[in-house]
Amino acid sequence: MKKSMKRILLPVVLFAMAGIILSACSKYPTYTVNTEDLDMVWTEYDQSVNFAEFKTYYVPDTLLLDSTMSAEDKAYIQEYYENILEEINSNLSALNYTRVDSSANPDMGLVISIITQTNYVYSYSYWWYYPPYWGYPGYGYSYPWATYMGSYEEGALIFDLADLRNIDHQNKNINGIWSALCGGILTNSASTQISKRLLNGIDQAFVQSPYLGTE
Amino acid sequence: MKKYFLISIIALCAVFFANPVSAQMDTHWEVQWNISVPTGEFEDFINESSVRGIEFGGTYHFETGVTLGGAFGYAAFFKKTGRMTIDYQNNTVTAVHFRDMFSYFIMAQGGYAYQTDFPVSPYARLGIGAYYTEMLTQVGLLYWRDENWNFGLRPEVGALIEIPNSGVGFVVNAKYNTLFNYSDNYDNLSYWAFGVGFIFGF
Repeated sequence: MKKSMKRILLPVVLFAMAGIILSACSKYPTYTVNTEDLDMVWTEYDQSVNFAEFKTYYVPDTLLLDSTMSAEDKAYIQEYYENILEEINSNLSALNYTRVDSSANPDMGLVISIITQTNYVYSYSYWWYYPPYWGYPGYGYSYPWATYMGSYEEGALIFDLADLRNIDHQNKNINGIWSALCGGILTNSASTQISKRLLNGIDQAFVQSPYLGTE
Repeated sequence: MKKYFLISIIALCAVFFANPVSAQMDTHWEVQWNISVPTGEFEDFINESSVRGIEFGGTYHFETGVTLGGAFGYAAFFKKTGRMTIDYQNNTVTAVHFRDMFSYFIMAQGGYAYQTDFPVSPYARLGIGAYYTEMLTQVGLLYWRDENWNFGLRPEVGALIEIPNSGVGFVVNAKYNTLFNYSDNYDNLSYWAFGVGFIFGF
């Protein structure tokens, strides 16, 4: 009796154990990841700066693109630039900052860039270019206050404000004072969705930066 | 922390390969499915229970009711948050957080099983061993990974239910895992594991 019971039960137990092991051992997450879930808005600023002291800013007409980007990608992204620029200007205007021409001695310089390459970040400062945009060719651009956060993957819109009132002419250096990164926004091929996610990301960058503004 | 792992291995080997002469023994083996629930500081990181857990073990039963054995296993925890805004020094990040934690353990166990005339044996035991954990945090596209070896304790209560004359049965139990001095962010990391499984080898 005991032997026949064992003969029946042991295969059942072994089969059930195999089922338990297979289902319980999986390392795959139990949640789902949608493209939009990877969108991220990251802002960082120089805490020693009083942003109310700045009144005007200048933004160049061109978009900075990752030098490794293909011509096709550049053309693809360039079509969003007008919308991006308009949204950023709209937010800065709401904070009472005035956009001026480079000849009007702007207080701040705004630079907008898009990167597609995977990169490691010290903060999200990027060192592979320097912007000669504000009439200071050959000057470096640094974030001495930045802190290490981690790394980002491909597809990020970055827009920064630089202090043009306190340029270190001796060392040819311009300090960034505020940076915003909208990551993940280039991970979906549906153009209307990208546009919406881009604009939402830009708005969120200003929402989470309450220290900005002239008052 | 690897020394705890080695100590656990040695303890397990000692239990399984020793040839005691002073007491008659009965051996059973276990395969368990664990449902795990984070507690304490760990709950702040992942506040969802997990159905991803498996455990294998073996136990010697001495005539006195004392048990000695060992176990090894795995538990995985997953959490996807809503979009949230976090301030860190002069940084602010708004994103969905993906938080995963994988815990692998191996331990020696000692305890007492109450022997009755019925096929149900309530028991209590304490596990001592090593935990290897992998904690992954993804915030939008930012990604962090931490690995740790920790010494841990695991008190456990449960019951062994044998199907008469079959040599197999079931086990149900509740276990409280505590990993000491887990990391800079957590003093101890702890979670409950509620197990159900099969026993065989009586």
